[in-house]
Amino acid sequence: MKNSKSIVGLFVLIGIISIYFLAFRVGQDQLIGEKTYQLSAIFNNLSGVSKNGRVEVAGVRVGSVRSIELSDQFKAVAILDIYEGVALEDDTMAVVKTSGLIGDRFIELIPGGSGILLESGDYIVDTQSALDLESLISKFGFGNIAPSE
Amino acid sequence: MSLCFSGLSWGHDDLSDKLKLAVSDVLAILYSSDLNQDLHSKERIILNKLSEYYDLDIIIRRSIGRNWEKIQLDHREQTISLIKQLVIRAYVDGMMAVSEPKIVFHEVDYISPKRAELGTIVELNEQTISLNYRFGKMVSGWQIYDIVIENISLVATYRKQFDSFFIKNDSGALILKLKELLSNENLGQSLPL
Repeated sequence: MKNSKSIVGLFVLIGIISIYFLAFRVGQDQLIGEKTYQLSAIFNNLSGVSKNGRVEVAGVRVGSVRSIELSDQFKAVAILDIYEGVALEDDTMAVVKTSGLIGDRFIELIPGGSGILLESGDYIVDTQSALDLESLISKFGFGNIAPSE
Repeated sequence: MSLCFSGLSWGHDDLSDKLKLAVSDVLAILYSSDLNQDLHSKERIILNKLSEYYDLDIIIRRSIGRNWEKIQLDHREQTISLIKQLVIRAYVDGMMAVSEPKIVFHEVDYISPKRAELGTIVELNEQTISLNYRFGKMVSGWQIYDIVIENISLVATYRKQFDSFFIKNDSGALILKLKELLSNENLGQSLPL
């Protein structure tokens, strides 16, 4: 009787671990144990990008957002975990993109060609924040309501 | 390609002054009432004037990115020259359709000892457009390496286009494509610039 209870308990435990593992994989789309190195990217605005968000090159996941911080100059700094096999040059650009029209925001890296590789701890300063469609539409669609001098 | 420099020595603090002068000179040419100057003449004069201030090769090379290695050695000079003409053509065509803009310059934001950004607001036809210039400190001094219009980077935009182009094409095809684009008289209406 005691044995059967232990076996049931073990199965329940395995089930809970499996569910947790699946949720982790689906949420982060990340392989456990993937070796990474860290880069930081400075943006004017990182609205919509979240911790563990995707980092892609040409639509292929190459890392994730480890954390997002606010700098002393009130800029958004994204700390990125990049898979170790992905070599990026120092003129790489980081752009905030949206999956579809209303999808999640992620960071796309556009590799450069300078020949000088970024190393762990380096910064990507050439960035482009997310396109603010609302602002653009209001600016070009409805005109500027501010009185001209 | 021969690039002529002004011969003036521009230092750290002159970054903003130099840009203001360059923009002022370009606008003066663009909106000059000299009827003897057709659009193509203005393009040539603007290109020469800008080359006096900045090494335009830098922004073009950065746009090409890693595709530079895919361009045949004997095609490189011509490719850079054609892209330069294309960018100037798009700019001149686009700007000539509207009245002279008023430009407000912000303070220079030094991101690192070798990187800086200078934001401007362009007041154009009752619209305001944000246009930021990105500078890098090179051996030849502070040079523009990217222009960001309404948060859209010129280099990122062109680099992605070149990436796509070179998947199926070579540098010979790029030269043909650039020549074809340059033969389009209404380039300003067909390019985002």
